[in-house]
Amino acid sequence: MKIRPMLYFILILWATSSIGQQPVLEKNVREQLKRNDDNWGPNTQHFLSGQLGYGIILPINTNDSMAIRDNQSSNHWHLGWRYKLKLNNTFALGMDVQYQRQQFRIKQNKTLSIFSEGVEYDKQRLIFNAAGLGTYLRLNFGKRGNRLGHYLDVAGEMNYVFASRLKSQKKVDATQNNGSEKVTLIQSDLNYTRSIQSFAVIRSGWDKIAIFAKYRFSDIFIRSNDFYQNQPIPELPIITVGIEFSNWYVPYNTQR
Amino acid sequence: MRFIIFILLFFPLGITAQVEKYWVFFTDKDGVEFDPYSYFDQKAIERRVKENIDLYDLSDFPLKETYIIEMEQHCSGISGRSRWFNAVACFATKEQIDTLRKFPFVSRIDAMTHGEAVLSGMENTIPDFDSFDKQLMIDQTESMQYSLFHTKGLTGKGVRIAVFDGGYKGFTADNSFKRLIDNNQIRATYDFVLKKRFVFSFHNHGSHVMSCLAGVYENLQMGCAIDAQFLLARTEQVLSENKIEEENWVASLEWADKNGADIINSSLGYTDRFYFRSEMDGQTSMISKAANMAAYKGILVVNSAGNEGGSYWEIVAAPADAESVLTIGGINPRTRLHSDFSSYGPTSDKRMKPNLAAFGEAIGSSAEKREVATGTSFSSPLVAGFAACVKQLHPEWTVQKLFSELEKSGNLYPYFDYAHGYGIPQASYFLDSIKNVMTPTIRFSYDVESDNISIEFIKANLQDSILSHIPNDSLLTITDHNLAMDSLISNQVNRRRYVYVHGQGEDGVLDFYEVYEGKEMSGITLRANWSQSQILRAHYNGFTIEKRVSEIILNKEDED
Repeated sequence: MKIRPMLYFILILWATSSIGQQPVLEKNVREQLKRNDDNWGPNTQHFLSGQLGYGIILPINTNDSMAIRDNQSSNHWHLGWRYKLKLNNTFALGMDVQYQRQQFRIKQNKTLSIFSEGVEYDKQRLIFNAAGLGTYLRLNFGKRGNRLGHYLDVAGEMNYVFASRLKSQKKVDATQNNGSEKVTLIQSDLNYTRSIQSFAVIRSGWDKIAIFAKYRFSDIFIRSNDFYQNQPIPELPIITVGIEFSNWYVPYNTQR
Repeated sequence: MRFIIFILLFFPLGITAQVEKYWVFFTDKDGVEFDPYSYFDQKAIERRVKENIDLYDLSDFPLKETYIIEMEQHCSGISGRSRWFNAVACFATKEQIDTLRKFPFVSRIDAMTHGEAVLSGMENTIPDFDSFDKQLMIDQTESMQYSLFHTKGLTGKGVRIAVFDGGYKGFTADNSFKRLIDNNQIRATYDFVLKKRFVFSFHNHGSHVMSCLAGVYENLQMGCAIDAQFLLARTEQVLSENKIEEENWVASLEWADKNGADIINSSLGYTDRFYFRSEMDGQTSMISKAANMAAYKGILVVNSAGNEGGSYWEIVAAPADAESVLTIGGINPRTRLHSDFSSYGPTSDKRMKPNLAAFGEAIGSSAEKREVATGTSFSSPLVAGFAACVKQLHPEWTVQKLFSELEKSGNLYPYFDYAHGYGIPQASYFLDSIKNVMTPTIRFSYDVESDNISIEFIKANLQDSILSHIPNDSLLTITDHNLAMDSLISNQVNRRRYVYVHGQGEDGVLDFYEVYEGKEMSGITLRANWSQSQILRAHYNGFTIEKRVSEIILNKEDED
C-alpha cells in the first residue's frame, strides 16, 4: 500500500536532482569562434535567402498586343530562394528558384471577345502558375560589412508554366439562371499558351528590399490562327515592375 | 527595340552617382603650430600631466591647412577631420580617389561604410511607479553596493564624464536632473550630427543613460555619479533611415579629450552593416582604434557590449572589441545572470569581453516619465558612474590602473567568462573597512568509474561565506539609504546562488563555460567535454577554485 507514495517521492527527488544538474547557461566557445570564419553570409562566399516579390504588369500596349485593364489588377507574385556566390567585393553570380504567379486582366471590348467563342464576358483573367529558374550577375556598390548592401542584378529567368487558367465572368439575369447573378467559366490547362516563358530582369536592391523590372522575351500564346478569328492571338504586355523583400537565411543556431 | 528601351529605362535604377565616403590620411604635420594651453581645457592638461603624456604630442596638433585646401579642390566635399589620425573624412568618386592617391602628402585612403549604429534600448513607460519599479531603481546601483560609496561621500565629485548618445530629449524638463542643471554640472554640449550646441531633443535614449549615471528621483540615486561633471555629445541619429558615420564618434572622442573628460560612456555598437565578425579584433574598425587612442590619452572609455546576444551577430560590436575599452555586459535583474540579449565575447582575436557587467534593465527618466529601459546601453552608464566614484577615491590612478582595479572588483573575480566578464563591480573591494573573507565553498572531484568531474559543496563553509558578504551594520543608520541597504542585504542573502565553471585551454582561451543553479543538496557533474590539458575554474558564493584537470584526476588516483 505504501509503495506508490514512496515511488512518487523517489521520482520527484530524482527529477529535482536532475534539474539541478542542468546548466542555466552553457556556451561552447570553440564552436562560437568557428563562426567567425563562416563562409555563409550576406557578404561572404555563399549566401542563401528567401524572397517574396510583388509586381504590376504595366498596361503598355502596342498596336498588335492585347490590352489589359489599367487598374493595376494585372500582377505578378513570386516566392523563392536565391543563392549568391561572391566573386569579389564588386561581382557575384547567383541563381533563383521561384514559384511565380502571373495574372492578366484582359480589357474587354464589346466588339471583341477573344477566348469566348462569340460570348461577350464582362471580365476575363489569364492566370499562370509557374516554376522559375533564374541566373544573375550582381554588381555591388560601396564598402559594406556582412550585408548585401547596394547592388544591381542583371538576370535571366526561365519559367515552366505548370498550370494555366482562363477565368471568364459574365453578369446574367438571375431570374433565368436559378438566382445566380454571375456566371463564371474556368478553363484550365490551356492548349494555346506556351509552357515555357523567358524573361530578362533588372533588379536594384538595398539589403532586404529590392525593386525589379522584368521584360518578357517569349510569347505567351502559341502562334496559331486556330483560336481567334483566324488570326494569331495578340500578345500581352511584356513589362512588369515591382518590389521584392528578402528574408535572410542564417544557417546556424545562435542559441548555442 | 523594345528590349533596348527597357534596358535604357530601367538599368539606371541601380546606379546612383557613386560618390562614396573615405578617410584620407596625411603623411605629416610638418610646420604646424600648436598651443596646448589655448586648445585644451585645464582638466585635459592635468590628465596629461598625471598620465605622463607629452603636452606637445603630435597627435594633438591640428591638420596641415595646405593639405586640406588641396584636398577640397580634388574631392566632392570634406565632412570632418581627425587630429589624432591626421585624416579627413571626405566624399569622393572613385576617379577622385585615384587622383588623391597620387598626392605625396596622402599616406593612405580607407573607404568608409554607411549605416546605422546600434543604439539599442527599449523603453516601456511605467503608468504607476510602484514598489517593484522602486526596488529595481534601488537595485540597479545597489547591485554594485553603491551605498558603501555614498556613505563615504564618493559620488563622482571632480570627475568629468563625456556621454555619447542619440539625443537627450526630456532632460531639461525632468526633475531627476534638476540638481545637475542647478549645480552647473553639464559643462558642455555638442551635436555632432547637426553641428550645433543644442542636444536636448531628438530622442530620450540619452536622458535614460544620464539617469543611470546621475539621475535622482525621490531622494534615490538611479546612478552613482550624481556629483560628476558632464559633457553631452549627440553622435548618432537614432532613426534607422538616417545614415550616420563613424566619423562623428571619432570627432566626439577628440572633443571629449579636449574638454577634459576623464571617463567616456558610449552606448552604441557597429555591427554587420559595417563589419564582419572576424573584424571584431579591436584593430580593424576606425572607432576601435580611436577608443584605444582615447585610452592612450588617459581617458577611461566605457562602452556597452551590445544587444546582439540573441541575434546571428551574437558577439560584442565595435568599439566594444577594443582592448582599452571597458566593455559592459547586461545582467538580468531577476535571475542575476547574463541577459539573453547581451552580446557575448570573446573578440575575434580571442580576448576576453565583456570586462564587467551591470543590470541590463534599469529605470530611466525623461520629461518626468519613469521608464524601464532595457539593453546594455544602460548597463554601461551604471558602471561608468561607478568608475567615477572610484576615480574620485583614487585620483592618482592611471587609466590602466583604474581599468584593472575595476575588473578586480567584479563579484566573480578572478573567475570570468564571456557572458559576465568578471561580473558586477563591487564597491566593497575599494573600501578598506569591508573585506570579504574567502573561505572555500566548493571543490572539484573526479569519479574514476564514470570518468566524470564534479563540483562538490563544502557545507561547513557555506554559512560563513554568505555572512561575509553583508556589510557592516553601522551603515544601516544612514537615513536616505535604509531602504537601499535593506535591499542590499536581501539581495545578498536571498538571491539565487549559482555555480560558475569554465574550462580554459592552453592558449588561455576558454573552451567552454557553464552556470548551474547552486543546489547545495547535491554536487554538480560537468556536462561540457573537458580535456586533461584544461584548467578548470569554478566560482561559488564569493570563492573561486582553480585546478588543472590532470591534477584533479591525479589527486583522485593518489587518494585511491
